[in-house]
Amino acid sequence: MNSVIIEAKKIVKKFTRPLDVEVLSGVDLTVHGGESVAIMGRSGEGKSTLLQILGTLEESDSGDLSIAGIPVTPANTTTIRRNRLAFVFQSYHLLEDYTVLENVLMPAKIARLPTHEGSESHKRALELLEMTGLTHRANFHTKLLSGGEKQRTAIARALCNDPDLILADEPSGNLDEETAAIIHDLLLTFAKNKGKALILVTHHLPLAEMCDRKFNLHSGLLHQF
Amino acid sequence: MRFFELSVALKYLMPQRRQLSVSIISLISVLVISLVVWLIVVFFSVTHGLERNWIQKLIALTAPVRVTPTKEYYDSYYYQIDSISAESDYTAKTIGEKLAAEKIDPYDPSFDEEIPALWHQPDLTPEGELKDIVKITMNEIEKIPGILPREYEMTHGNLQLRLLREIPKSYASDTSSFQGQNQSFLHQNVYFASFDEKNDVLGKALLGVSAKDIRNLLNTVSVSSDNSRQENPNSIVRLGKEEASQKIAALFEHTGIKSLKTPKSGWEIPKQLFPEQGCFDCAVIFKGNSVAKVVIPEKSKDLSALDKCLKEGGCTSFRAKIEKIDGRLFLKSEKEQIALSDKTPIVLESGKIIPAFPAENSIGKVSRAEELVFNVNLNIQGKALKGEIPLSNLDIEQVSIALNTDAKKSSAPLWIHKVSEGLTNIRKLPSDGDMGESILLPKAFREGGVLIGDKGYISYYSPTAAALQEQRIPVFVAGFYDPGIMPLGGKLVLAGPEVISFIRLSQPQEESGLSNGINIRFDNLNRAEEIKQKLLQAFEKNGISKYWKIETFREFDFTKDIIKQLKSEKNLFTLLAIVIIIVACSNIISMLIILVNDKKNEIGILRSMGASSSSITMIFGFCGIMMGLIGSVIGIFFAVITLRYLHTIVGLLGRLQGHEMFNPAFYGEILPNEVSGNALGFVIIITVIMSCIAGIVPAIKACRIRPGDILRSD
Repeated sequence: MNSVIIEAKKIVKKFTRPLDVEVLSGVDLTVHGGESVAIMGRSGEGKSTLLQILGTLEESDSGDLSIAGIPVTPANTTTIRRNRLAFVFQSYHLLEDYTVLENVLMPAKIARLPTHEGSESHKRALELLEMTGLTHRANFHTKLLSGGEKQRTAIARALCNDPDLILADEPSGNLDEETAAIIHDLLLTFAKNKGKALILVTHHLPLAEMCDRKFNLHSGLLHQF
Repeated sequence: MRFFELSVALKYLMPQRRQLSVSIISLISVLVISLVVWLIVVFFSVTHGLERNWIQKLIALTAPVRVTPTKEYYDSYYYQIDSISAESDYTAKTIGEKLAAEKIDPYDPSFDEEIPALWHQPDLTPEGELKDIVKITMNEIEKIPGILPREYEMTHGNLQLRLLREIPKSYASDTSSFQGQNQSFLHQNVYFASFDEKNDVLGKALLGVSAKDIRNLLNTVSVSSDNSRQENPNSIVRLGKEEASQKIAALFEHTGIKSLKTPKSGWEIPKQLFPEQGCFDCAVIFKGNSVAKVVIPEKSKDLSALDKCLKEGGCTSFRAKIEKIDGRLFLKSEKEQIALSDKTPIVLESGKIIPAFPAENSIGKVSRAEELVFNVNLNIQGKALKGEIPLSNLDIEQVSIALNTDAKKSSAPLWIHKVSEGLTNIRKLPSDGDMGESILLPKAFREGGVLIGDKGYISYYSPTAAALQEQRIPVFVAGFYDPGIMPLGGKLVLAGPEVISFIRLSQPQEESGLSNGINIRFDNLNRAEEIKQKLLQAFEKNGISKYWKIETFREFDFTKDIIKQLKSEKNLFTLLAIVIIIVACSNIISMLIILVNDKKNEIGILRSMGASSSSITMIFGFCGIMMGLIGSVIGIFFAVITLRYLHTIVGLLGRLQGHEMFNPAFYGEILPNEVSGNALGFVIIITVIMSCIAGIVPAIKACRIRPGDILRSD
């Protein structure tokens, strides 16, 4: 068994406005390297909130979270996000003023790694583009891409800094069946082959079925099924 | 790019169609900043240059540092003892005389009257000798390298100048007693300061010698100065023919006349100039039945304009042609041909510049300027009129002036000039046996109509036991200088040190610091305070500090107010400039706030990829600074161009306005247009600081954005 990548214990999150609602009431989740986990649930159950807490984009009200063995504190969220995590969003969230290659290289730039031609990051970015079938689009501005291409760019970008954990929030929500299948295949294959942890939030049952474990978020708690 | 923040900031600043509003606002912000920077750099450069020129002129007349005697000096035994010593002729000595004196203490107890009981106590050295205050002082001053100490004296008196001016020929008959000359007098109480021939800075304040000055000199050198010293001389006494012609010839050793100008009212062409068989278009004016005047236009095509002009003037005129046949001039019309009487004037319309050079046989022979003969080559209606003409009734248009002279020439110019003495050049005031001592006047006199060569006298009063006597020293004007903004400037006449000494000696010694002292000159004005401090220490060490007051040019009585005023005006404008820059930079705030709102999503994405909040702050900080810098660079570029063509622009604005933009009396003939390094530094630093501050508010707003809120799935 691979090492534990993310361990969440008793995660609680409440929203006070407009009404007091406890969205997460003590969620426990442990994911190992190479393992893929799907989280399902009805809209408004707090799937995205959970994913953002797991991705350190939002703070929980209580509970412990450690990523790659490092306990998450407000002081180290940026470093963890930079070196250990990557996100894939439903609406891609690409940088529109940049080309595909520049988007893929952005995490490396933020991590202050050399990104010039011939550098490790640059080579890696080209490999990722080849893997995602986007080599011919490398110098295209992202606004010119199709939805599938955009999501493939987002996946390539997520893998640029070789993260331990990929958090995907409805990655195929805006795509047709065929393209969605390609995206799912990419994500799952990558997690499996490279020993990365993958947490997916989805409504798409066939995709959840492809994951190693699947959970239903209901009444603030995760139920495996 | 190593800093991803910088690359992102640059991306944000690139104009993009998608963000038209942001692009327009940023363009406006940059334009406003560049406009403000342009204004500040131009204004500061010009005012900085003006201030420098003013201070330079001020220092040309004084010195960067001045050492003047205090009341203690005048009360000291050292100073007072001369007034009771026969050795010193019972007269107190000036600083210069003290320096040259052989004996420190001229008092001879066996010969001179007894020292009064309550006499000043002598200041003795540890060896028991009287301290030679002036020599010790000079010694100490000379120890400082790179400076030139010179004694100066200042006094006051009356200046009377006799202004002899030629009257145009047409009016001359009424004043026959003055031989075609008009005389007026200028009488003014003035200050006199000694002219320092080694003062190189003075050159910057000197005004040039003009053609009018030469015309005046030609006139006045032949007039005897004998009665110029009278209160109101009622005649013009001419020098002997030989002496006068020698003087005129001497003048031409240092000047050359290149061209003459005909009077605007018309010039009677000497008939011998007309070429044989040359035919000219002309207008003939009749008076009754006889020809009164023939007018020739410079160009044939001007004839109809001339006709119209004559008609409006109520003259009856006919067109004709004038031609010289066998030495006689004939008027030809279609029907007839009449010979022209020798007395009928042939007048050339309009002021025309005629290239001319003095005829060889003329200089050294004529005793009056009007008699000088010139070779001319005049072109009228495409035909050449050649020959010799007298100077009378013509103006001198262009002259060449020698401002340097050497010992080889038999005479010196009658204006201020440079003479090589060893390795250095010194400026010399001319001196002339007949005309007297020369003086330099401030430019206000020139504006009042005084010219180089005008003669007169300085009068001053000398008290004797029996009466107050008026004494006079003959002088002539040898040049003008621009005193800048010095308050005494309009009244400060520079004369040779001997002249000033002479006047001062005859007057009771004034105990005013203004009248006698030591000017300390050096090139770098920034050294003034350092030199003052060095002198203070040296004087303190020698125990003579109580006798001297040391002042830098910023502290002189007559300059400190102006310098303070200049400084406070500068401070005020600096404050104003800062306010304007703040206003200009505040545009950046609004632009950046819009940009932050626009880029919220991108900020969230960058944050999700691990960009720290300080990186986000830096991105928007860079945006602010870059806009400030781009604005500054554009503004500076245009400021440099504006300053380069400042004179053309000011001239153009002056024409649009209908009068001069800047009064030369205050701002000088030419506005300074050097780019001031201080202004550039000030503008760049202030703009960067202000735009950085302007960038902080939006940057803080940007770094507070929570990525979770932005990236939540839709």
